[in-house]
Amino acid sequence: MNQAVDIRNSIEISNLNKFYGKKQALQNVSLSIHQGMFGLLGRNGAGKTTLMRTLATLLQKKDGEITVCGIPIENAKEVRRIIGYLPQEFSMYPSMSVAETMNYLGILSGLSSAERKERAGILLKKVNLEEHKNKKIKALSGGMKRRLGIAQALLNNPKVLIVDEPTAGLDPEERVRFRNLLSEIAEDRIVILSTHIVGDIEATCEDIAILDDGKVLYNGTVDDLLNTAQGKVFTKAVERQELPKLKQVLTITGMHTQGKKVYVRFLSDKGAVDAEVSEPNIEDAYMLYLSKNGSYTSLGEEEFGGGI
Amino acid sequence: MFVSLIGIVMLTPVFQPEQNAEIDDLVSSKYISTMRIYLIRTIYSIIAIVLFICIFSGYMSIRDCDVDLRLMMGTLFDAIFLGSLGMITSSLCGNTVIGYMIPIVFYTLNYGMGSKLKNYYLFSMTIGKFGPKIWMLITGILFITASIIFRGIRKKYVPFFS
Amino acid sequence: MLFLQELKKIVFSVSYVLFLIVIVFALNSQGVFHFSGGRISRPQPGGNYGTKHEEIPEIIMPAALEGLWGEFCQNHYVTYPIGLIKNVRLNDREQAEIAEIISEITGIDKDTILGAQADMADVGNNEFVIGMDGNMQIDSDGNIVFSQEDNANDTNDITDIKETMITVRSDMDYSEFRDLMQRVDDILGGGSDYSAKSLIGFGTVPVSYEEAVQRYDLCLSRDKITGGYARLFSDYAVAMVMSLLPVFPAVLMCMKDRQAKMTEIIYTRKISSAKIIVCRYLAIMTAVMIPVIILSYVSNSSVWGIYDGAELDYFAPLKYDLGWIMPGIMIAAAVGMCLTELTNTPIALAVQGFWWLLDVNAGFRSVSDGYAIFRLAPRHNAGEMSYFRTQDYIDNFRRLTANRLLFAGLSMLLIAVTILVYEAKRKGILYGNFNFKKAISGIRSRRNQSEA
Repeated sequence: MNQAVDIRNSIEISNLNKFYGKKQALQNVSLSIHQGMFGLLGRNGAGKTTLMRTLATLLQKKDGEITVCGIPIENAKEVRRIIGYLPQEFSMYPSMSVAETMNYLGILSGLSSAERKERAGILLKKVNLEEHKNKKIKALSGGMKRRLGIAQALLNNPKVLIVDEPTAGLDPEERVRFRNLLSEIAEDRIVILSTHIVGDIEATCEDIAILDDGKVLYNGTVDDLLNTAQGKVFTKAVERQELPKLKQVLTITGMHTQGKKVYVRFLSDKGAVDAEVSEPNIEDAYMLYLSKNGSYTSLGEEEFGGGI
Repeated sequence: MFVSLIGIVMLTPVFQPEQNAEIDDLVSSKYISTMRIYLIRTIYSIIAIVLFICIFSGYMSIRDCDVDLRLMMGTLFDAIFLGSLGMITSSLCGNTVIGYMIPIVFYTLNYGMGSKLKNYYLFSMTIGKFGPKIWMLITGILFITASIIFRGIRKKYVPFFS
Repeated sequence: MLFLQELKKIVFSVSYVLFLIVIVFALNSQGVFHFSGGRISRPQPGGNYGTKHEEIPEIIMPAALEGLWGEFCQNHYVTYPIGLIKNVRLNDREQAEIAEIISEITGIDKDTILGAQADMADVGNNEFVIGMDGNMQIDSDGNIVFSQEDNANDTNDITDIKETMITVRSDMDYSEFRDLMQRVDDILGGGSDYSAKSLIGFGTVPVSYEEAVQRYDLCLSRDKITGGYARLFSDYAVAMVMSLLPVFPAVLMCMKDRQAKMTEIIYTRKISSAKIIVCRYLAIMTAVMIPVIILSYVSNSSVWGIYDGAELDYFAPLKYDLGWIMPGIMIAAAVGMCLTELTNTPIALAVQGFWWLLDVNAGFRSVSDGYAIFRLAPRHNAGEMSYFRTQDYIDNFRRLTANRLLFAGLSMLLIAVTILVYEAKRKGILYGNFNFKKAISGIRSRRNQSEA
């Protein structure tokens, strides 16, 4: 009984392969995604967008099976009925107003006139765009456009919401608001969120998968992920001059400067001398997975928010 | 007669890459002025037109057709005029496809209206008149200049278009 | 509902306003809003009723020979093989063949002919010299002018030959003449005035009084006068603009999604590709047809007052709008949509433009060419001076109907293809790998976007 319910409310992917010419973009990807927020973490070019677009019926798979709430992905029309998609790069007709855009996209979603009016009203309120509903798209800020993007993706009350890098380019306040919004939405549907910003995952997801080079490196809960990094994260205080040498030998996941000393956070399988064990966060665990799989090469300090 | 259509193809898309607002912002913020960029594009487009006309004329003369410098110059001036129509339209409307519409329609009107166009009759050389070509060259240059200037200054002075 | 939205998208745009201005301007340039002919009236005996073409051997044969001789002498033949003008020059062998044909027609020795031609060719390149009893030139208005020259006092060989050459052999059989002329056409590569079907162009005869009256009566009974004017409007409208311009709104419409970066948001929606494409197509058709219908009535009604009291067909413009003009708009819009969706570029403008160019040059050659089955823009081109040549229209009506139905059918086929292309794009079957090129440059770069 449980199994049957699961399939009707989950996305099942097994042995998915996708090629772009000779390059394999997805290799034997198998995932089971259930209700709630599911995070897809990975670097640029890891295959996150490819996976999301395949789920959104925008790309053809080479082989493998995908069912979206029991519907095979080949039945594109039926799948489109129950999904909402917010791409990474998108915009809307610049001279249309917010309300007109929602109306137009509502028609394309097959909603009746009454439904459109109702849904658009509720959704614009939810994303805090109601007072801007007569503004033209070209007059909206980046954050407002993103929020409108979410609103339009929810027009047809989809069972599955696919959101590709939604917080890229948003300011911190907008980012927090966005995460809260997504969490709210995820209460009664599947939300797949792809990002390379670890903070997004931390704030909202229970289950995550780490993709790298088209392969699934990790698939499970956030807690389990953190456990794998338990006892492998250390913090050490060093002089600033030592930094360049240390970067060569250690897998550094964060730094912050206090006076003349720099507190370096790093990973180690074998333990470390003169270093404190630290509580791992998702970023640490993520880096650990990447380095274990040989994908992790030297990182510059500017790649971490707490750097210079 | 139809060789001059190459002017539309080569000159109208001069402003096309900056049709995208983001690219436009990026390019406009650089040290080199956009007007210079457009001018460079215009010049090499005209060079391309000249080359095309030369190659085509060469082919025609190999096939024993009468081709002389006058004919070639006339065709070049026609092409510049047609292209300039495309440039000024796409410059004012910010859309290359609309830019194509005006010169194409002008060309079609030459079939119907013919000599009523007087100094702007594209096929004037078939009736032995070269004068209109000079008019078209001058007008073409004026349109090209105006379109480049407009494109360059519009952000500063014409908020409606930005 | 979607149809109305798409219509709104088209109509409330700068490009549509420009489009309307262009249509009005182009049609006005053809004089369809102020027909200049004045009221047509019953022909009176003893007048000039214009000319027509008839297959009368006694007229055709000398006229065609004269034309051929002139071109032969200058070794400069004008042909229209694909509708565009082509100036043909023949080599020695080919000229000899032509000389042989002329020899057969006139009965004069081939070598004499070749000799005369060599002398004539020395006359100079800038003068068009045809025939022996006249000079043909082009005046400043582009009209061909014949001026008579008196060669009676000229006694040299060339004149003698000239005087003899005018005549076709008295025992020349017309079908043999036609075959010989067809051979000429073949040597020239086709498209000349001498081909079997174009030969009738030399058979110019004046229209007789009786015929003129017949035309007038037909114009009243069949066309009910307004039909003739509507036909003239349609002829100009389709030929000049409506077989080309509708490609613009079609291309703009299809490129709009891509330019606004909205494609994926639309692709992932529930609505079927068929519905999207059909609604958009119908919206384009409506946006173009409505001004055309209005303008056709503006044009037609401009003469209603002149024909006060006569029996007029007030539905004539509408009939012609739907039957003659609409298929032209249909095909231009369909080509625009199909090629734009297929290539994601505005190449349709070039394709339709090129087709229009070829067609407009091919269509004016003769009445039958004007109604050819693949004619994009059917030509009739007969105004008040010839009483709208209603008989020709009636004679060719069936072909016109077939032509228009063919184009309407072709348009629908193209729309069906467009739907398939659109669905293929939606599913990533077409252009699915496009974004990969973007992604691959992301792999190479190791810069992260910063967390705040």
